[in-house]
Amino acid sequence: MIYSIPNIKSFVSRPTVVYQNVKLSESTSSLVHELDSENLYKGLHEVYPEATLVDLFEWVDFFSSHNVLFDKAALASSYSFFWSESTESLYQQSLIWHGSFKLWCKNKKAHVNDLRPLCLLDQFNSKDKNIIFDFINHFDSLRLSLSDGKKILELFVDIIGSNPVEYSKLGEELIELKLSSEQILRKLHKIKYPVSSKKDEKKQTFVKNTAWPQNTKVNFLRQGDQAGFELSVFVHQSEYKEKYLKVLKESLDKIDHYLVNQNSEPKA
Amino acid sequence: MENINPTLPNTNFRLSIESAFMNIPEHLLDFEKIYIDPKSKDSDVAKRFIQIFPNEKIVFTEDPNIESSNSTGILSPKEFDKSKKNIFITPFQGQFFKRCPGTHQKMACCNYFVLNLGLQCNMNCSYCYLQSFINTKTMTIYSNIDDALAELKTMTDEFKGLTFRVGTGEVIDSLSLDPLTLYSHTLINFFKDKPHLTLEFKTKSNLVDQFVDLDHANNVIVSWSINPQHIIEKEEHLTSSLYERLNAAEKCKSKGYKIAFHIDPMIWHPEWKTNYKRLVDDITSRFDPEDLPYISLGALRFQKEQRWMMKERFGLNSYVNQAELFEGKDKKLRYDQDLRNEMFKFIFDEFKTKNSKWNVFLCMETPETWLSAFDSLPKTIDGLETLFEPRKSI
Repeated sequence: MIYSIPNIKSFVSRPTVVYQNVKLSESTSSLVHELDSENLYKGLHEVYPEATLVDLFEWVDFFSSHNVLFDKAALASSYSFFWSESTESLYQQSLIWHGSFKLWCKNKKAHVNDLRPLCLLDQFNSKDKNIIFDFINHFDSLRLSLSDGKKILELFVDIIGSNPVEYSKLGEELIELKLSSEQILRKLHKIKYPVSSKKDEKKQTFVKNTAWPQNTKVNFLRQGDQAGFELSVFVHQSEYKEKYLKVLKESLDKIDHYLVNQNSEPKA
Repeated sequence: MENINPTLPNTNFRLSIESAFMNIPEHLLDFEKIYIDPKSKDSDVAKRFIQIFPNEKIVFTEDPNIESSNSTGILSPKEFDKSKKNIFITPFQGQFFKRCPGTHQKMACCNYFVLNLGLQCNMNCSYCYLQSFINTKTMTIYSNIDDALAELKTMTDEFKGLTFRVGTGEVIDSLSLDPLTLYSHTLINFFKDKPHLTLEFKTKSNLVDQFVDLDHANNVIVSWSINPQHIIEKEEHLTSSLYERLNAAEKCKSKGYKIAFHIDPMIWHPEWKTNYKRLVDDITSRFDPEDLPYISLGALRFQKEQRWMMKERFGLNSYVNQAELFEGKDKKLRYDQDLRNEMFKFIFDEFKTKNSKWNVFLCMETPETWLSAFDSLPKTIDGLETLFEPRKSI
């Protein structure tokens, strides 16, 4: 019995590539190139020069279930992946991932580190795992970028892992609200980090509710572990130097007053 | 009892085998395997392990990880856990003395030299920074302590007149394995006739009985990393309790050792003020400012990628995964600077309210944080200026 690997490629002029009764590529040509275990990875690489992590998982699953002799680590290595414990954990999960999440991972060329939060699911019970799986199945339809998807995945897994009962419906709510990725991130961030979210929000409210002098612009800004304000003045005429300095000082005084008193405000 | 192994040197500071056995806590005998590099087999430390552990646990090998297929990079969480269960005794091949890692140009740090006599730890703190860089699958104890001391002697001979502080607790706890190695004996004896040098042990254990009665030159600081008991229970697994650590500190104090406390890392949690206030109460009710040259403070910090190891090993409800952390100037994740300032200032004020003579300083912090928390830089604070006096670089 001859099997074909998933998503097999067809070529017109190349011979069909076969390894242990498994077609790795198809061809209209009658020529057959049979690989042995020595040149499997090189041969596979020639037919498929690129493979995503999910492609790799699909091949591993296929080879394993068809009793094809191969080495996971060598296969991964031929595509510059390292078959670590995390890779194995993700591979085991990928067997039950929904197609739409696999598609998102493939399209975004997600690597092991991008999906690392999912390795924590080994600590979850099956009910809580399903909360995560149900949510990530929407990544593709939400059109999440890889960068946003990674952040959302990390926050969502953290929240469900810490408090699965309270947030069991969170995924469904986020989907129903039809939020943008930025809104989802903000909402998850607020749940996961209520203290720092509240502090940053207070600073943003201060910027918004303060009457700043004309021609000045104040923004709340976070630079690493420091949160502060960016103050700019629109300068257009040199003779107004004194005026610019005055508005700068006025703005700085307001910021200074806020910073000095921020911790002495009555606590909510 | 006579020395049962004629090859063991009969040095005056060595405990007899009999008393050594009696002083070894049971949990230190739980290691699964003791691997000994043939190059180390004649070292005192290897001989001692051979005496202490049953033959079936002793394996002579140059590479204890030879059977392991995966030999690249940082350890996986499982490998990291496993690495704590075995010991490899081998000579250290590089330079023993290194500057404290806090000596980064953007950090204000305390200028001391680090002597690593091993790598990995038999305790298990959730925030341990070893999780981000250890790539050896077995806890290591370096057998060539004599080479380290020769290096130190060369260094101190070259820079006569300069004071040196040498700490041993950077990548391995100074004392948690000491009943097995007895390195404290070798070190205290080496420092005994060198009063211009200061030796600092840094530990989370209470294992001091094996050295506390030795003669010393009042130049040994035994320091403890401490945290509120609630944090110890939740985050500092397999360590001694706060009270055991404070008791050990009292014992050392009574024998003339200098003692110090590092409240590090401070960990934010909902009840942090109550718990850290209680910690200050615990310290100030048992010790006077004169008992402690300094108390250092630090807040939770770790390499960004380490968070995965922490989450996978300690779960998502660990306190180290609670408050938000941001990338600081040194690329480590830290609490927001305002929150750090608040935590440091809180502790600082708690100590100063009890007695203005308490010397409290920050470790691994930026000048901005010093200014925000204490309104001054370390070199201008009474009692701390000598700790931060720049030394000639080596």
